[in-house]
Amino acid sequence: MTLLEPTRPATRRTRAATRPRRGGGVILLPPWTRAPLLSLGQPAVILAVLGAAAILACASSSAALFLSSAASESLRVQLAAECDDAAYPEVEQLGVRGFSLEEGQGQQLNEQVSTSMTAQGLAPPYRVQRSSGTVSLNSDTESTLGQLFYRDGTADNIEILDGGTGPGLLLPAFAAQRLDVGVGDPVLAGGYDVAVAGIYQDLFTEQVPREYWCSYSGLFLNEASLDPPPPALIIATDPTIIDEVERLLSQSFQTTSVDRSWISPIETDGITLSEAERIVGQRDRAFEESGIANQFDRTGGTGLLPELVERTTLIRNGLRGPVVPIALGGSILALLLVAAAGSYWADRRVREVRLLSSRGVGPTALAGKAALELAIPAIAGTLLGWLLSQWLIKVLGPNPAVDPSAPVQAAVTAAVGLLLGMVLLATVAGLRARGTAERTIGLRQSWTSRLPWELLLLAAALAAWLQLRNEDGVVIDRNVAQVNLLLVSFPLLFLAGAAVLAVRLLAALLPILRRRAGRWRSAPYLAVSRVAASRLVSAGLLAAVSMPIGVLVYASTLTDTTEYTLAAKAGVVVGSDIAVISVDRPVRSAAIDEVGTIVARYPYGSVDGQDVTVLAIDPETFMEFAYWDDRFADVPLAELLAALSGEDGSAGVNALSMGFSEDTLTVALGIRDVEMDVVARVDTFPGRRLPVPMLIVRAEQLGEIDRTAGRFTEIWSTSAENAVREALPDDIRVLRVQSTDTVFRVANFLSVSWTFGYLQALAAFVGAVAVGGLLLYLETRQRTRVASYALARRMGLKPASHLRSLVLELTVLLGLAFAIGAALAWAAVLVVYRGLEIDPTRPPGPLLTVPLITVLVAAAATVAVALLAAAYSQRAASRADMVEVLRLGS
Amino acid sequence: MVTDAVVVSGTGLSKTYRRNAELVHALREVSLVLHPGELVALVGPSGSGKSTLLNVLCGWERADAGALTWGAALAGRQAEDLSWGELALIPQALGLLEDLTMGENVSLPGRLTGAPDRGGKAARELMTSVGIDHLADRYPKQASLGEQQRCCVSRALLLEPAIVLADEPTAHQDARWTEVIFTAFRRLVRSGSVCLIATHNPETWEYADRILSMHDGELREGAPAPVH
Repeated sequence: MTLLEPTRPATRRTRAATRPRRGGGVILLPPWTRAPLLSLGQPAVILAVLGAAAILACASSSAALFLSSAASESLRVQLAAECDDAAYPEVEQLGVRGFSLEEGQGQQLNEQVSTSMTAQGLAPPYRVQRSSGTVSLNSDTESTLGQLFYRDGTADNIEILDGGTGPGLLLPAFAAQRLDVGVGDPVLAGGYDVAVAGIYQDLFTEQVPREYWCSYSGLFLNEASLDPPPPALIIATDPTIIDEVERLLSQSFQTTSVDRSWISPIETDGITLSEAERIVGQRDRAFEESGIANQFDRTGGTGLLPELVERTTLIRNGLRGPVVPIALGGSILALLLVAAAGSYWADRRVREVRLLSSRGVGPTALAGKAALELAIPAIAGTLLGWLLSQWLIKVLGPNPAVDPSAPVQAAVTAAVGLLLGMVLLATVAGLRARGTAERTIGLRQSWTSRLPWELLLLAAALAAWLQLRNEDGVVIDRNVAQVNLLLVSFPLLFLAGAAVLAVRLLAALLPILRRRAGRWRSAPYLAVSRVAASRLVSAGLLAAVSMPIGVLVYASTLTDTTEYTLAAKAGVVVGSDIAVISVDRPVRSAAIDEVGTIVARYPYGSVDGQDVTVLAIDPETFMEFAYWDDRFADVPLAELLAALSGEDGSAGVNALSMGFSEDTLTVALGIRDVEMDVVARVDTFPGRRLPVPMLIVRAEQLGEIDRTAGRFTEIWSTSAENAVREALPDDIRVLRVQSTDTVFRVANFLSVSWTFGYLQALAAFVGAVAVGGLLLYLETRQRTRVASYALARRMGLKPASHLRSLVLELTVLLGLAFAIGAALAWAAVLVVYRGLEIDPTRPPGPLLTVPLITVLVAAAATVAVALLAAAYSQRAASRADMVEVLRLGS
Repeated sequence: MVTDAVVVSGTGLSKTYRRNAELVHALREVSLVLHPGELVALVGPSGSGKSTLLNVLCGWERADAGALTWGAALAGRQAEDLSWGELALIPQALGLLEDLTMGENVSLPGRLTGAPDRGGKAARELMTSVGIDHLADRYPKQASLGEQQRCCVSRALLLEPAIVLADEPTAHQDARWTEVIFTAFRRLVRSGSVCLIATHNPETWEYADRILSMHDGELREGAPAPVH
């Protein structure tokens, strides 16, 4: 049976053999019916298609998974900044002045709410009940104020000093002492007569269980000032005690009422957005079914989850804008690799394809054959890519947790990608097969290939840039920073267009280079000859590699710039890593010098009625601890500090000015007017917390300022908070501690770094596509050149020379691609980075930061790829079976 | 002019290989002697062992049995160590470097063996003699198979090797270019070289000083018996 012999009756067979086949009928012939199994004999083709399909599936399915993973991480970051129970779903009945529950109604409400919450699938709630304000607490002789509090399990989370077994109230030690009462003594709480059931250790003096008390620390700690702690936290052993107090309060003219909450614990570790949305929905339904009707349609406490869900949704939606186009771009590039795999199939099956073509089989039928042959590896590759993308997101993504729907969405997009990929693969295979069989000798380059199509891309990039000039690079929506899509589309268009244009111009120089190479040694001569002979491939390779390098450098530069700028903004606000703030006046000591520098802050100064902050610093220690970047001023910090310390020759105080153009200023500080001589100007200076001008002076020169000026003394330190506290004398009270970690809500800026992170992932991915394409090209090239290499060796070409020529060819090509990509990316960065302002209210503006490590790693990877590809190509050439060379037909 | 000197002699050369379950006797105790100044036609049907014999002679394949001895200026040498100036090949696959122009392909042996001057004038003359001088700046893929084959012949003759092993060097030529190519071979052998040409084309036998016939791995002197 011949290749095209059909398994059909003889009469039809004759007709089939004499008439050219145009697809359709041929599909039932052995080359097509057996096609799915034929690819098994071509491991290289299987590998190429499998890899290309996997990369395509990975690209197309990554967006859904990435967005879900980013949402999970956003939730995690926000949850981590809150108390563990802050996000627990809560149903709350807000107290109403003058209103109280009837006897037994509290228990009934408790059962009602608990039932409605558990009916919605939430865990059985615990109960929290507390007075909305303070109530009077009277013993026989003394009185004080306290806040009534009940929560299930409280007794296990306090240290009972006395009693604690019977019903009644548990008093903190300081309140019991103030009231002069002991266990069993009666007290009047809001008029309700109740016994002291026990006395517990004051919570503000001990390390309380963080999880239990975290959300309620405001009830017993006063972190905001140096005032005494808040009113006593009076813990009821039974919620009905609070109900009774409420009844009495409602009958008097007291403003205090009682709030009741039911809180259902949830597992927040690894929680996804859809899970959080589901819980919020359960909570809302539970609230509706609970029968609670708060006045004025207030819903009361809900827990933080709804707010976190809203913010996370905002972050995810902000990410979707740039991520989806990036994924689309990646998928398009992956489709090119799939197309290359189709071409590779035609190349590997050239003999059969030629035979079929010679029998009149058209490109459509050949495309069908390719599709049938490659369907199994393509499907397997898609499955592999889908699994791979999930694994990659799990390992490298923002968070391993993804919504259950995300893999399904990913599978759908991967399937669509597969469909498109198969169509493209078959089309290219068919056309290429036909082209192989009907190659025209000396075919001239078509006029369409000479047109600089890339100018269209550059025009689009220009339009994007012009639009970007009128818009913010980073849009702040409800405090959440979102990257403008133009900031992503501009570089992609610019890099693609400019890279192709640069490569086209370079390719035009190749003939000159080739002529010069004629006088060079064998290795460079062969390298240049190869590059010049395959101008299109070389140019394609240059453009294909320069593109991911460009995207990588662009994205990583903007990522590093964003992160560095954010850190700089926080550093400027705080002044150093931390600022330990006091209203007392610590003086310089050896211990303080070890950990930080003293800065006196006068936030209420004024110059001609304009608010101004004055910082009085110690130049001797300032430089060691203050946050500084040389771009804050035109001169180094050391010179600025020297200017402050220098003799000025006038009566005024030397000052650095931030925001004033005058050379001399009269600054009102309290009751004193201080003459200041501006010795230097700065754009930004550490310690700026308010959007008002700032003057920096030498503390010693400023001298004593009266208390009416309002002064805070800060220790700016790069050490831990405890180290600073230990260095302070005992009589110095710490008002608060500010650190760079707490300046910003980190979650608000996550979408910026993730957008560029995803762009970097795209770059790495495109790099993988380029390397895959390079290997396919080298494999194809080397395979078709076995005979010529064998003969060239016979003519005297040494393997080392051949390897050197390959190394030269690939390192120069890829090195040039790296240089082009990096240079273009840098140009794109310079154009846009000023628009990357993530918080315009806080200086400094964007500080351009070079991602040195990324660039070095990319450069090393480029060189490594070039060397490995050269070694691979050399190995492929050396494996040539010389015996077959003379037997090969042309 | 043919002399009694020996360029290469093979004695009892045997080569067997396995093709799936089948044992193929490619060479069966083949003995031959090639003298300087002779053009020898190696004829025989496909699969008779011609290519295997050429492979053994050029050193890309080793005989299982028998001895191969190089004489004259090549005495004591191994086939695989012979340079292009001593042993040149014209394979069926042609083996032109796709990245070099036709002119560069012809002059490549001169460049690689450190005789670039031969790549100039001599290469141009050779290309002119086989009618491809106008294609010097074209890449092989921009030329016809016949032109590529003549380029391959020019490349083999460039350094005037002591021995040329050619496998169907006129497979893609018409009668006119066949004559041109064999004339070039004859010119070479006049300078004392030897050409062993594997060919199917009986019309080329007339250019040969001797004919060796191969059949089922056996070699004998003279043209094969006519097939009726």
